[in-house]
Amino acid sequence: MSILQAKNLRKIYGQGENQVKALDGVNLEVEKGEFVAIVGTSGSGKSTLLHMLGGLDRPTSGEVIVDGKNTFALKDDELTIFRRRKIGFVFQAYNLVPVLNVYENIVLPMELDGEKIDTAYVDEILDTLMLSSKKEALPNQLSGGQQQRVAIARALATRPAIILADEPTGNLDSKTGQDVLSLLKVSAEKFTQTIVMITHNDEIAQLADRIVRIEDGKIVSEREGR
Amino acid sequence: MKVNNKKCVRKIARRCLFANKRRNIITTFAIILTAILFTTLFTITLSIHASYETSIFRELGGKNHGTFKDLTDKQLEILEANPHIQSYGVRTVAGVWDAEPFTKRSAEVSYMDDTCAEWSFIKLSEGHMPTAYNEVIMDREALRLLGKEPVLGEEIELSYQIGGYLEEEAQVTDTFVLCGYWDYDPMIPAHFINVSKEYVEQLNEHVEEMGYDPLRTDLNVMFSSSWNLVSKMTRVEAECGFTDTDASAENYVRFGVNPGFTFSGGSGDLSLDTLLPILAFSLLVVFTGYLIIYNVFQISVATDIRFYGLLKTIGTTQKQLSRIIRNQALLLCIVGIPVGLLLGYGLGALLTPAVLKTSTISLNSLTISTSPVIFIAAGLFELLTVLLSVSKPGRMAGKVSPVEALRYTESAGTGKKKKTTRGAKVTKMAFANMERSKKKTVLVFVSLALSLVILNVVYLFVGGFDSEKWLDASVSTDFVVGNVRYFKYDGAAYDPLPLDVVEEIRGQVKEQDGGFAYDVQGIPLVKVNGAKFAESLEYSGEEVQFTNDAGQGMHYMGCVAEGMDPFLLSKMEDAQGDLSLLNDPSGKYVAILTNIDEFGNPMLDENAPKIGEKITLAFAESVEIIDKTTGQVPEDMVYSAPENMEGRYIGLTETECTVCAYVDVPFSIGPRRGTFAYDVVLGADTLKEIVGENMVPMFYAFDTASEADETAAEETIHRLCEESAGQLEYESKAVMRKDFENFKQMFSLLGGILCIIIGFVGILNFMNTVMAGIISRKNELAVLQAIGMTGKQVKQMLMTEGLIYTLGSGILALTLSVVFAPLVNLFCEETFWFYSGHFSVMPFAYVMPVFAILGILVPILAYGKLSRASIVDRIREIG
Repeated sequence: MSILQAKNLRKIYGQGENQVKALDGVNLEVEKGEFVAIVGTSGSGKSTLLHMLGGLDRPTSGEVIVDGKNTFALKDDELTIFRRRKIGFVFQAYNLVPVLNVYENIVLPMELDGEKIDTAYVDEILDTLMLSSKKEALPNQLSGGQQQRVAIARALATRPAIILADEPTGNLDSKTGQDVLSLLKVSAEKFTQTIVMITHNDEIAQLADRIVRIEDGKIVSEREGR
Repeated sequence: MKVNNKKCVRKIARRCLFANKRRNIITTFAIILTAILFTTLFTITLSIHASYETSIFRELGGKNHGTFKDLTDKQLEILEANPHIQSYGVRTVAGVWDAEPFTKRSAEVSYMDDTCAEWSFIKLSEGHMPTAYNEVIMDREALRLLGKEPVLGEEIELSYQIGGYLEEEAQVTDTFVLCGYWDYDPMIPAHFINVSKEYVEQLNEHVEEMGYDPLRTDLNVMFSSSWNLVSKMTRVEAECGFTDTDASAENYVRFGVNPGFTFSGGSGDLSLDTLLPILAFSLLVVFTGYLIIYNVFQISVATDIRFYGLLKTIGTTQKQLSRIIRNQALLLCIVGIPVGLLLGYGLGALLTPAVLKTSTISLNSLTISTSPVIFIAAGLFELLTVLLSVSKPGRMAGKVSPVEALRYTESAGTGKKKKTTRGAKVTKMAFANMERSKKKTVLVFVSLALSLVILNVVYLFVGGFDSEKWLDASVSTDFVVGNVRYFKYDGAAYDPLPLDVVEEIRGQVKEQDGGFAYDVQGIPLVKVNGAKFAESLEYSGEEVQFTNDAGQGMHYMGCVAEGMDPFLLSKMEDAQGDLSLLNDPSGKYVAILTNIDEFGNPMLDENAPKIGEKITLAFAESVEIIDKTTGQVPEDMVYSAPENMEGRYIGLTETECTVCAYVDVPFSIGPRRGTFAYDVVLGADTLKEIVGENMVPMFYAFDTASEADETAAEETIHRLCEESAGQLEYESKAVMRKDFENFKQMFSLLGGILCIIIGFVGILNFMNTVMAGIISRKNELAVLQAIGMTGKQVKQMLMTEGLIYTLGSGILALTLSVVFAPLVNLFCEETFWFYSGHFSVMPFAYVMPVFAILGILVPILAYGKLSRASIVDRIREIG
């Protein structure tokens, strides 16, 4: 069963001569539990695609269905709430809330939702990502790798339908990047999570179950990972 | 969908707050400053109101809400236990002394407990309340009248009539020992002479032996509020099982409500006339506060936009983001508002005397209001200002698109590109930088310019007060000497001016010419037709019928009749008809007192007698008013229904006079009061013929020949008035000029403080904008330096930006002032007849250099702090 479906997505910036087709009819389906990597050069439209999939930006046409729900039929605030329940994000720049400590960052989406925190589950995630000892630390007291692991923990904590990762290793050296990614993959499997990751790094992409290549706003090839 | 996420939103708000020190300090300052303005405004307003009430209470002799009268011990006990009565004071009246030397103002011998004494404005300057049997306290003036020195231990003999009894046997004479005294207050209607409880108790036994009613004991009470006092008193009566309607009943207890609370509109009503300026001022303060708090938060949101975008990405809704911003502001309010309220209250209390000095309320009625309304209203207004100010930044944070926030750099977003051939010049870059965020630039311009414009308006306003114009119109003679009550008219008849004092003055000063004005003791009346009578009733609401009224459809109405010596009549400027006829005592001429407008039209109704027509003046020595329901003289006129009353004029005489003129008597030598009937001016001799011995001197006015004489006279009169212990008062050119200067000073003071605070707000705003601008461009500035701009050039650029801000606002303010000055002048000339329009740029000359220095200094300081870190560090650091 597909948990994420993009149907004929288009995103066009500008008008007339200046028109830029960032996405030009993308169709994509992701199964539950799958780990998909989207690769492409810069300007290929991969980030735009991710923004569309995550409901951060609205497409010019087409639809995105997450967990059976057409996301762009939702109003802005509904979409925001949908996002914090169904989608976990991991960004290149980690994007942790600097004024909150590790634990608070992780449970923030749930708190915003007014949910009761499943502390056992959060502890398990912290354990899996080897962050248990850093629970009270503030983001600026952590290394890049640690910060990115916190971001992953935050994405996992809400038990979202999918996790979207935007160049999660882009700011890390290759060794740390590999480590973080392994942890991402391990924890995704452990907690049966679906991951869509964009990267320009083919080596990193190899870790995925499926690699989708995008160029000039179109999907040009799809193949199995290792 | 309702979720409980408040706690989490609050947590983020709190944490963000601590991460943003500079913004917090500036915002808190702004909150404090605006809260000061609000609180000061409300403190002054309510204090003036309270002072006005106090002045009325002094005239009435007490500030308690109401009084239960003539109580037995048992009744007293029941009332004291009533829970609705918040506090009470007991008074037992031993008797009244209205024989010599207390003929003018009677003395009341009574026992008062401490509360009652306090409510009767008795503040001992020395000594203690009477406790021993023969101890007594009284005011200094009573002591003087008794020929005693204010020395504790002095033996004083008091001789007075017990209760209200006039019989000779009711007179008692006892010797007391003075144990305390206080300063005389001429506004209080009687001299209080207080004796001990023991004394009245023993006297009471004596009175009962004589077969008289026991001495009258009253209970003065205060409730939780002054609202709806009559129903409060009635409720207490009902609860205690008393009645105030059936005088013959065993449980009959009379009560009275202090009319002061009804005079002043139930204490708390402010008229529209006072409310409008307060509202206008409040709006100005709201606007001032808005300018800065909005700007500070707008900048801080713009700077932290990535942060808010991030929060949105991970699922913070628009509402929650607005709440995060709002909560931060509210947290700052927790610090700012209480500080502002306290400082503002202090400032208000300090300023109230200055404002009061310019009103008719005397300074010893000064009462600083402690009403919680001040703090509640100021707090709410401040909260409103803050919420208003952060609503837009909150919406901006809420609306942020997560994708854009991820790559946000502050920019105006206008796509226009200008072509330039001259490369990047430092000044050019500065201008370009200002253009990047036009909104912010305009905001700083406006907030800086606002303080300058207000400064200029205040300067124009105060400078336009023309003291010579004021003196010309308000002073007719060099000196007016009269009884203190003449100058502070309070509704009661004037005490006559003692002739010996005038003779003493005349003997000591060199006058060129002078004359008396006379008042009438008793009741001067004028005969009017039914139409005029009915019309007046609508204003006065008096309905007491007189059995010996004029008849034949005509009615007597009380009027004011001022008699004038020729000297004063020669001072009349606005008159129609022939005033000189008034000097002819055989002719029985009168002039009708009226306002004559600028087109020469007397403001009289159509019923008024024309010049040359006859008018009937009448005079009654007194009136007798009887309650038709009881057939007796009512105890308290004020509380009785007029339709139940019936009156009779006693000693009525009529005189027919001819109206020879309409005259607009200058206030300074007029009667200073008026009626709804026709008030008249007569020659002194004519008035004497009509009212005989009831004509008494009201004031004496005179001119001096030279300035030297005037100065000498000023000194002499000033001294004599001081020596008269508050009986004698005078007005002169010098006094009026001083009064006017006080009036001017009040506006300078209030305006000055307003300018300073708004100026501070403007400067804070400027500092915040410049510093935030520099800090948020940290990377950019570092990059500029990395590619070859020297530190000096960067500084130069920043200084130019600062100067553009200050000079720009200066020019804006100047333009606005030039445009609005004629309007301000026009408005002021319309409103204040003593205002002469003018224009000046002096305030700019003073303030602009300060602004320019700030414009240069602030950027240098901000950059200096920044440039301590190396360029590389600064580039690496992400905003």
